Amino acid sequence: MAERRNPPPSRAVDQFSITDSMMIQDFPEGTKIRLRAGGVAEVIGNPRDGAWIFIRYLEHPEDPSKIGSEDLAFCTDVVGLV
Amino acid sequence: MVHISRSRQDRSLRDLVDWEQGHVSREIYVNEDIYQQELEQIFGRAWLFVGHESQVPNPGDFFQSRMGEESVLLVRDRKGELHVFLNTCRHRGMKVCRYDEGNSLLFTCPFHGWSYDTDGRLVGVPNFQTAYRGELDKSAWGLHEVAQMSNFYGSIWATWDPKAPSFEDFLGAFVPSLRRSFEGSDGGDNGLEFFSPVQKWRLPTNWKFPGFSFAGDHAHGAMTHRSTTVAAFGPQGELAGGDRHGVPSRWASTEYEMSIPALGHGGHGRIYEQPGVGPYVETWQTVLQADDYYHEMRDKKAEKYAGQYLHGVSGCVFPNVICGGSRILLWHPHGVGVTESWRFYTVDKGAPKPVKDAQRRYMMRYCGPGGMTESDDMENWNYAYPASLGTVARRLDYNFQNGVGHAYADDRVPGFTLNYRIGEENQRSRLRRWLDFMEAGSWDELSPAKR
Ligand code: FES
Ligand SMILES: [Fe+2]
Repeated sequence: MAERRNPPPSRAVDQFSITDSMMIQDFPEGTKIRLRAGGVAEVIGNPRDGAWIFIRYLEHPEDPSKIGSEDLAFCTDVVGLV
Repeated sequence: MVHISRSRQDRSLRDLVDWEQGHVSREIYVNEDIYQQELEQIFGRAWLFVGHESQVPNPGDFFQSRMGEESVLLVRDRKGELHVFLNTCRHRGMKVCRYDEGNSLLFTCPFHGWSYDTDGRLVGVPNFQTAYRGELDKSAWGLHEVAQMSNFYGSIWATWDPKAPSFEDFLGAFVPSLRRSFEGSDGGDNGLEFFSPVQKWRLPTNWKFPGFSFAGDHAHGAMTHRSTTVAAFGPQGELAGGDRHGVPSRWASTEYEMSIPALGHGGHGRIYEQPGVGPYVETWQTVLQADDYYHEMRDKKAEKYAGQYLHGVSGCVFPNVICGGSRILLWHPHGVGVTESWRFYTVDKGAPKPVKDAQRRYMMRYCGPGGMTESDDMENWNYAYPASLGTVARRLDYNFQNGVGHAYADDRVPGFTLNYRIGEENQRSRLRRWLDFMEAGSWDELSPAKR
C-alpha cells in the first residue's frame, strides 16, 4: 500500500462537531475573540453574513510573525470571546 | 461554422433568413436548436448592456444583472473599480448573491461558505488549513469576470469574448447618438441616474419579437396603440388634445428609419433643417416646477449645441437593448419561448424631487408591465409566438418586405442607411447582423475586427 503522504490532522482542536460555530454575525468591530487554532484576534470588519469576519491577530501560538496581520475567520474558527 | 439541425430538414441559416428580400422563416423564432446557438454565438460574443454606474455609487455596492440567460453581478469594489462577474460560485456553482442590489464587504456562498472579495478574489475557504491543508490555489478560483467591460458615459456594457472589438468599434457610427442617450436634458455628458428598483417580468414569447421590432416597427403604432393614443396620458396630463408623448419641439425636422445595416444598430431618427436645439414647449402643465426646470435645462443645452445639427437616432444596440427616451428596454432570452423583460427608467441626476417623481410616474404609466403602451405590445408579441409554433404555421415565412430596395445613404448622417419612417429597414438590419453572428465561427469572421 502506498504510504499516505499527508495524513489528516488529528489534533485535539479538530475533535469538535463540524457544524459547531459561534454566532458572529453581530460582533462589532473591536470585539476580541479566541480562535480554535489558538490565539486571539480583534474583529476589524464584519460583512454580517454570519459566516466570516475580518480579523487582526493579537496573539498567535504558532507564528508570532503573524501578530498584527489581517485575515478572515470562518464561524467555526471562533470559539469564544476574550 | 453553421450548425444545421435535422429538425430543420438541413436548411441552412442563410436559407431561413433572406433579409434582402424580406423573407424570414418562423423557425428562427421558435426552434430550440437555433435558440441554443443564439446563446452561444450572439449572447456569448456581443457587447451586452449590464447597468449604470449610478446603480452602484459606493464601494461594495452591487447590482444583480443578466447577460443572456446568465446572472451577473455589477460590483464596485472597495477601491472604487467596477467589475462584472458571473454570479456562480467556483466550488460547486451556487449563486453567490441572490439579492437584486445592495452593499457588501464580501460575497459569501451559502453552500459551503467560500467567500469572494468585491474585486472577485477568492479570499475565504472554510477549513483551508485543516481540510485543504493550505494547498488550494485560491488565486485560480476567483469569480469569473467578463472578458471586457466598458463604461460608456455612465452606462456599463460587457462581453464574454476577448476577441470582440472595443465597445466604440462595436457601435460604429452609432457612438454620437448613444452618447446623447445618456446625456442630461441640459446636454451634459453622463447626466442621468437610474431609478431603483428595476421592473422585471416574463413574457411568453421569443426575445426577438420585442428585441427586433422595438424602435423598428412604426407600422404597428397607429393600429396597436390606437386606444392609448386616444386616452391622452402624456406628461401634459389633462390638457385637451394631449397624446401619449410629451409635446414635441416644433423645430422643423423629418423622421426616418435609420440603421447601420452591417452592425444591426438603429431606430427612429431625425434630420433637422436647422442647427441647435428647438424652442421649449410647455409640457408638464400639471406638475409644479417641471416646466421651469426643463425649460432651464433646454436653454443650457441650446448653448452647448449652438450651431450644431443634432441629427441622430435613439434606438436599438444589437442585439437586445433599446436606449433613450428616459428608459432602457432590455429583453433577456429565457428559453426559446420566454423573454425576461427589464425596464430601467432614467432621469436627470440633478433634477428636483418633484420632477423626478413626475418623470417616474409618467414612464410607469407609459411603458413597463403596467404601462399602457407596452400592455398593447405584449398582446401582439405573446400571441404571435404561439400562433407561429404549429407544425403548419412554422412552414410559413414572416414578411419583412416593407420598404425593401428603397434604403439610401445621406451625407448628413454618415454611416447610416435611411428609409421612410414607417418601414422594416431596421428590422432587416438586425436580421442581417443576426445572420452574421450565427454564421461566424468567431469574431475573426465578424466585423469590425479587434484593433
Ligand atoms: S458551492 Fe459555493 S462554497 Fe460550495
Ligand atoms: Fe444538508
